[in-house]
Amino acid sequence: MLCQNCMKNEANTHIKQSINGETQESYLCFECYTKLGHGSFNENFSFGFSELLNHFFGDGLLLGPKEQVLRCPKCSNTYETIAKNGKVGCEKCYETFYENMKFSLQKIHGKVKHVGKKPVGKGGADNE
Amino acid sequence: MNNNKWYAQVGEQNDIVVSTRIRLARNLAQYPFPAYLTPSEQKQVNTVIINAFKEIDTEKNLRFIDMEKVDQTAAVSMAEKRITSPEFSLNRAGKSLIVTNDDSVSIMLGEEDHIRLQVMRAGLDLETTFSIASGIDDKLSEKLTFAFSEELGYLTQCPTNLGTAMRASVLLHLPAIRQRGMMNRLASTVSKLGLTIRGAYGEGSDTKGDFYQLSNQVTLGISEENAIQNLKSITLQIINQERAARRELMENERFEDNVWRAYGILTNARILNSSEFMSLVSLVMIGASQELFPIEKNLINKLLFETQPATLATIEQNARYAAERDRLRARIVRSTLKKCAE
Repeated sequence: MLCQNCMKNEANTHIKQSINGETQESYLCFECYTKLGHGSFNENFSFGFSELLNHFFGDGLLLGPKEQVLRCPKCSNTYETIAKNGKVGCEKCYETFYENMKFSLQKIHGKVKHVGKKPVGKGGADNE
Repeated sequence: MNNNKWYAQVGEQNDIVVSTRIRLARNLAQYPFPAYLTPSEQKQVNTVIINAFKEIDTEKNLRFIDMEKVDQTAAVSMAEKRITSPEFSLNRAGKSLIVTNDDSVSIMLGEEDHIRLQVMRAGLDLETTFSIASGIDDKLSEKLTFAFSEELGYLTQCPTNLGTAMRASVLLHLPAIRQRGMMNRLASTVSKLGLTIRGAYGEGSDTKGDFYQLSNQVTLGISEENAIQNLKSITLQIINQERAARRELMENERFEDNVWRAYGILTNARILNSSEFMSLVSLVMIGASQELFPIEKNLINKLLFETQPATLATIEQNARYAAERDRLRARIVRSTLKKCAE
């Protein structure tokens, strides 16, 4: 069987992974295995939420631009940019685009108020 | 095999719980998140973090590694040993790693967040593992200003990690639950309880997947302690189920015979592909937990880390090729089991 990635070398690694019962498989050569990484015993910190994330940011896009496009005063990203990348720009984005994200945060986490530890030192100070 | 490594230790419930891991994500308030930094900007952020770690590392227990200087095979081997994430090992530009000599604490700089701190321990030990991670986090927060809000907790590049920004997980070996066809039901139950279970099958065709990672899913609106207690109580229930299923399987003479045959093959085979190894080692571990033969409870940890492709290739370069890898794997398994029997 040929490597599913380069379609050139013979596949000699087989990776099988299942998440909550759903299985994914890939057959790769050693070179592609080391290039692409592998599924065994590892998982993305964020659970490969990419589809969910598109949805996450998508909800906020419905609020749409008003007269003027809102930019984060700190990193100058627009909500459209972070929605496209699926990645928030900086800590200030959460304040700037809170209304866009609030509904989706509720959907993911259920609650939108932090309970848990706080930074003991400087991190607890005003981040402005 | 380095006996100083965390995975050479024996932990609680180690015959079923391979390891416990806590990961915390932290970002510096001052800088944009990693996706919006160039590799050179990322390096500047890393320098600030590394300097803070050097200040708190009074016992000089930390190694600082520039990932750009690590070659591909060695980097993937780190991911196989779970010191790094696969993404981190594959895209090394601008990234740094801080790791203790025993590999139990590793800190990825420039992964999805500025700081990804992880602590690992053998067996089931969520409280100690969390307290080590939290202690490092507290010391660090005295030196650095973290992105944090009262409302949303620790602010992370991905909104799914907001709040505690903590993932607690246990790696479970559940051959008997899987053999008895109870896995799908278990998966659907835990997902309703705010947890995620992932199967990890290793390399090789037709592998029998008996390793499962169970972790918390929700991070906002639940404290670290509650998330850990929830994970722990469900883990303990799964352990009980696995133990009962193992006992039941062993009452079957044919099954017991299979267990002994598996032990015979692993202690004698000269060529062992990953798939065969995984199926046999599962049977052997069931036998070991019933004390049929002399095997250390943490054997799985050692063998899993040492028999993966890139890690084998760091031991012998020829292990890039499957045939050579199967020979080397058989040699490592034989010598490890032989040491147990002495």
